[in-house]
Amino acid sequence: MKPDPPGGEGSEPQNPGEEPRATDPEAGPGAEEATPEDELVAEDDAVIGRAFARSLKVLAALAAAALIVVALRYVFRAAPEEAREIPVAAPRAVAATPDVPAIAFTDITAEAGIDFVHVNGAEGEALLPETMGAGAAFFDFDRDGDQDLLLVNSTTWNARADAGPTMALYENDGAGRFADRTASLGLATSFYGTGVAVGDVDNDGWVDLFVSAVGPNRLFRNVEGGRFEDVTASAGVAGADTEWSSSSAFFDADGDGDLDLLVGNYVRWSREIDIEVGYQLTGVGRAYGPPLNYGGTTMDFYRNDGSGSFTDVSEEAGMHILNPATDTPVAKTLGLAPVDVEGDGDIDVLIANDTVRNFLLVNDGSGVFTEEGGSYGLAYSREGAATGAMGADAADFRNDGELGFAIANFANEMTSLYVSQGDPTLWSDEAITAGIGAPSRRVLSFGLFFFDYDLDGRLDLLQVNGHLEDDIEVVEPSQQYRQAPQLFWNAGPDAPATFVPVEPAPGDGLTRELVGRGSSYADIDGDGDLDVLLLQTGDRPLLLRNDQETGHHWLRFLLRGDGERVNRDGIGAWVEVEQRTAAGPVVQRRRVMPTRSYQSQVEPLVTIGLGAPASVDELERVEVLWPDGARQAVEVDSFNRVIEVDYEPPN
Amino acid sequence: MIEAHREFNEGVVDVDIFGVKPGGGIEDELIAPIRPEIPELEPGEDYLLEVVVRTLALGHHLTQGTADSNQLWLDVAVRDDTGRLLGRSGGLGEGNRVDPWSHFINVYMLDREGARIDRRNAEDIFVPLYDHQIPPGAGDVVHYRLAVPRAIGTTGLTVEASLHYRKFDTKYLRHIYGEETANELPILDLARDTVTFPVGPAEASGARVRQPVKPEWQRWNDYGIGLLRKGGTGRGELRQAIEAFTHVEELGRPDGPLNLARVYLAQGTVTDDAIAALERAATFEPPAPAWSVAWFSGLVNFQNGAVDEAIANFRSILEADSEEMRRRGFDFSRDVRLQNQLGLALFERAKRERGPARADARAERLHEARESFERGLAIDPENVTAHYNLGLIYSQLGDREASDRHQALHAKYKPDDNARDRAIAIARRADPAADHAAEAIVIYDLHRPERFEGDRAGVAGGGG
Repeated sequence: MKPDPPGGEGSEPQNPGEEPRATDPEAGPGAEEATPEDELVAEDDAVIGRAFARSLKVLAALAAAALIVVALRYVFRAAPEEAREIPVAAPRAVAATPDVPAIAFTDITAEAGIDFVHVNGAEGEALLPETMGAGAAFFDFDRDGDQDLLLVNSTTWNARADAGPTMALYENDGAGRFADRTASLGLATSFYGTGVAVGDVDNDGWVDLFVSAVGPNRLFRNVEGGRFEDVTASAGVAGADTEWSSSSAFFDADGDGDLDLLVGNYVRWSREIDIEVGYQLTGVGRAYGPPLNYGGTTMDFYRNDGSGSFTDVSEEAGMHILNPATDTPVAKTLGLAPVDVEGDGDIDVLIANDTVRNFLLVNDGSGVFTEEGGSYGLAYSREGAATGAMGADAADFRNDGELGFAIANFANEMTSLYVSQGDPTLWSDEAITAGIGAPSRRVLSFGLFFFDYDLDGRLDLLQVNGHLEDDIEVVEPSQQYRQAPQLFWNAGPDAPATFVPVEPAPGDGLTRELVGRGSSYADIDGDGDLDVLLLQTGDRPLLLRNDQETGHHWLRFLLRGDGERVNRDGIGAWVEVEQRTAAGPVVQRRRVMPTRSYQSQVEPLVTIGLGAPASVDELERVEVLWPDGARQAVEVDSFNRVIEVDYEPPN
Repeated sequence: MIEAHREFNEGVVDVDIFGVKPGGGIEDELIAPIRPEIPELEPGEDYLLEVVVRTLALGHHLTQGTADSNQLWLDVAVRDDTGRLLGRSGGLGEGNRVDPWSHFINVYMLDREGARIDRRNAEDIFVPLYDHQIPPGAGDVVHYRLAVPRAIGTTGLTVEASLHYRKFDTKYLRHIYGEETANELPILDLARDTVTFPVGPAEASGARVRQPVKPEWQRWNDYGIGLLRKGGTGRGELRQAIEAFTHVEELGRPDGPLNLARVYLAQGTVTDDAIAALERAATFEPPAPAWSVAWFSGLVNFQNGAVDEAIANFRSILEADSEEMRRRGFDFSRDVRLQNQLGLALFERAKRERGPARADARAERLHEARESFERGLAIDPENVTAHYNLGLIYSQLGDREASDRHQALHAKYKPDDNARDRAIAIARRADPAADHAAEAIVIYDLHRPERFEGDRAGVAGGGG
């Protein structure tokens, strides 16, 4: 640092252009005579010169030191480590599966009298709704104790309401034979139906029918089991004229004893939007356009006023979920799983969205929902990406008190199996460890549900599969248009993987390859085990009678609310059965919830498989937990029967 | 100056007229490789012409950078032996515009209204309609419809395929210089391939045939890679890719079974096909690279639930330091996908430790997983998979604040799933040529009646 010249701050500015005169100690006589100013400058220069020389010496010393250090390190460097090779290792072979109980599902569709064919209206234009299929519902419309069957139909694009293909309502004779009563019941009306929800909306004891559609949805009131009356207009549940609705659900969201209605909507679609884009599969012809290229929607939520009249409270209820970047609706809903996630007595809803994140609507008890899918870990795949989600179901499938959500996904995607991690706000996808990961990548899954097909007390899983494009095999050898369903047997908590793929015997109903979409189950022949219905788009359904011969015992529960504190159908109630077994006490918790799978409803009864207990004394506890929180003990004195439980208010 | 550019781009890319499929469909039987034998074409027949483009000497995607405005396209011309043009894709039109129905190796980028980013207005970039870039060391297959005229009257049909490049397209220049501007920018020929096909039984006169520079196994391999890559993961022409890689295996190269494993992983047949292919790759002579076998084995093990084996596979790559790796300067700890995949496997392992009795073991595994994802973030701070999993892991470890932070970053960096909702449909409706090119599998027609047939005089040649 150059010291300030005496006399003041700052230095005398030099004249611009003038070279600074360097101190030249060698300057002898002949040099300009030095002025006082020159002397000052010369003195400054000398100071600079000395400082500079000093700096040079220091730097040289430092450089020398550095060189010595570097040299020493080189000389004493560690010998190069031994090379570490990568061991050559092919993947482990997939373990042989443990003994899975033999299954037998027999195709009885024709024998049962079901001649329904789903009409999707496909005529070569490849309009997206054609490939998405429609659902079905098992419910007892005439209250004679057996499950009747409603099959939703779509239609041709130009059909008239009174002349085109219609839904079909088949009456069960109690032994699993069905008679078509559609016309006499007043349901022979043609529209592009998609999903269905059943529930007693006016608590008069007769189960009513809601059918969702591409276009206005319909509500049909069950008039004492003799006919159905279209009450859509007065009920106020048609939805927007051009909306494409999919899965829908009746449940009591606000705890006032009646059934509210949640309707999932798919994408913003019209024939014009669809046809103007040249979707192709193999470079020729026309293919179905993916949901990615259509706008999202919001769910519709209707609050029941008690008499079957509804108010659209979608926005207040939190259904208008918008993309923060564009302020446009996000949802592309195909599946719904209503279930009490928090254990706080009200029903929350998992919304399975196709190609965008899933939602978890957490109910505050009054029918107002907050979306928490992201923070709870239910929104995305394990890589943090959205999946092509279709059908969904929820159950405590390990009998350990932790809920699991199964969500069917697109081809090459694994089925998701989110399990709560000891905390209802924390979920993780366990599909890989549970054994359903790799097998489910090979198929495009739509409907799925948990059910105990062998009545051993553990919930098994059935997926219905089928592709979208009928020429997919041209480019993807592992995918076909028609795909067999996949059944996974629950091997229990001690098995390395909970779910084991079941190989059906040749000729078994489950080997049939289908363009699978919705699915449902019911005990249609009253023998205690669950029979299944598999649906196809543009083709016949498949009714499979469960002919298992394990000899396992069972109990089936038919719950009835009082129509005031608890809805008549008992939707939202849980049945808990605690059983003493050799491996310790086992608690099965199963709920009354028809809404499962894809665009479909299952029978309302709860089936509890009991395996092979020696006596009823092994049942430590049988209770119903009603949606209003009331707990009711149930007397059981024998196995293999249907127990009807009517709501009793707490004392 | 142009010569300097030409030299710089020498040998960067290869074009290979690889095969034909009589019948013209993706599903039709393939006749390949073309050369040394050249199949005879039938008058009146439709063929699918398979042109393979392969990046050779690039360390990045082709073209990367200003991929919205770089104009790189395939020019395929079919002539009879009098020189008469019978079919063309990639020719020039009025003002030296490139035929919009050509195959462009670019990104067709959109703004949020579905309008193309065509004025270097990068600030409006929202979502791509399609991305036809080619990764380094990878191939692409471009399908063309080639129709041989019934009354052809010559003995030979010459197909010439060249990859052209110029800096800006005509639309952009017109935006700057006015609507009447002609595009006079120099066009570089990056690569070129020529084959004369005999038509009918007579010997073709004046045949022009370039000798391919790649060995046969590599021509099959590049073709297979192009097929595998079509349409993104899990889509693509997988059946055709399997056939191609089977040829590679038969020709004695370990790339065959290794790339077959890639296809099986893409299509999800991991419980059987993928295992068998990797077993063959592992024991092949000459051997497939050990790190590749370990990586794919790890992925297969992971999906099959053999999580401990998967962890061992991934760790073996991270901990390796072989002679070969030192020679080639490899350090796989810098591969964020490897760190992520190890993290996923460790997280999966943690999920097995269920219930209060296993809480400590679970926490230990969660911490291991966490460390793996953190290492990935050190390499790529915007990595979506790492942020997502750290959000979940921190939740489970009880650190809500860290969990929220990572969840927010996941939401921030994750591509918007609704972005395509409007923009894509609008764009496809507005531009039929782009609509056609946006599908996963595209067949470009050499015989469009409105095709551009112009050549730019003095195209700076070289290549091939």
